[in-house]
Amino acid sequence: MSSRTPAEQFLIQLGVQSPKDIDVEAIAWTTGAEVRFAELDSCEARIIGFGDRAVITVEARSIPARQRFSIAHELGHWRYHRGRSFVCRSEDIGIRDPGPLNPERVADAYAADLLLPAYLFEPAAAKLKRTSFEAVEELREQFSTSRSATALRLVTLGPEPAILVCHSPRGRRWFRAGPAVPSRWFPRDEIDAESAALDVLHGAMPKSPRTLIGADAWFDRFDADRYEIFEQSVRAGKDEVLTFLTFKSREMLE
Amino acid sequence: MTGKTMRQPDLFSVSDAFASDMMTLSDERLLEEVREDGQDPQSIAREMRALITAASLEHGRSRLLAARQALDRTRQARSGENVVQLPLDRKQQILSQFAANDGQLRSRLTMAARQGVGASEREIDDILRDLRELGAIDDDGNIR
Repeated sequence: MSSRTPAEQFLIQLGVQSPKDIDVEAIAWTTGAEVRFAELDSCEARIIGFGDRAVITVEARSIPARQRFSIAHELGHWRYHRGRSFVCRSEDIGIRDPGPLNPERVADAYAADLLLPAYLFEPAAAKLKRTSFEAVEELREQFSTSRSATALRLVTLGPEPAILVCHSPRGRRWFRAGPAVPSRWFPRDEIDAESAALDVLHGAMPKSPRTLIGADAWFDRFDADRYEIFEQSVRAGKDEVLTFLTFKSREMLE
Repeated sequence: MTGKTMRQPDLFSVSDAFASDMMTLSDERLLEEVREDGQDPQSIAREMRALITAASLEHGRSRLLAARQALDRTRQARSGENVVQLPLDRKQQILSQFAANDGQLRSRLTMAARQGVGASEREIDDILRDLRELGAIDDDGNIR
């Protein structure tokens, strides 16, 4: 059995046994933090804490999945950064930040563990058998989470080794590889002309089917043309495309 | 609210004595006694673990349910509350006091904003209301 993170241990203490039990506002209350909703002009969410009590205010106009993530993110600050004051700017948020101890990464990781705990997510993902955007939709329905957060979790805890890549028209923005994927498989900066990801990015279709493509379309390595991989892309936001890369050949994973 | 339960001295004396007796037994002796009674210690341990897990889960669920009910009650009670009216420069002054203070007050304060770019006046109002409700400032904005 894998070791539980602090967020997962907390959920277990609160008797959480299924995704629908994750009432993030009630969870906040048990820690002394009250969640409020308001129209915010300058941020997505904030926490104001004094002593052992806090108020978390979340943008009322955001979609529920985003609100839940924001609450869980602020709870991460409440757990790890009590007695500290700082503003998380947009460039600090998400996958591009510098180190694992960056407060935003710490809060993001806590949020992911709280909303998509491994002890509930892994069995749910295993039932779906594949790392695909169809699986993401089923899982986000169960866990009430965003597509990107769920897709990132599926890469880490999903049923098959995978890489998730995000591209904008200006090139690759970020990628995350699952733990079983060797580091030599590093995605190219640009989308290959053969890839359906390009059609999705340019709006020809919202999602591509999972299809085989030469691995050299995605990896700039001398031996990439010996293999085929599966790709599947979905449009995300205004000008981004997310792509799952999964592996046909076991040899690529050795 | 439940009333105080009356202590029953005789019953408690018996249970205390029983507990004391159990605690003085060595593990080996205890296991031996269980086996002498024709029971399986492993099976008893499994049953006890299951009981504790079930009780722990139930306690956790009750705690979460109580939290949700308390939150809902608090939200209902809060509707219609007024925000303190202060001039903008006074509001900014209060916030800058928090930013400047690097002593004991600062260590009690936690502030973070996700994807923040600088607060608007209505956000400053909300922050001051939060600080007042948390007991950090009084109605006039003075730091407590």
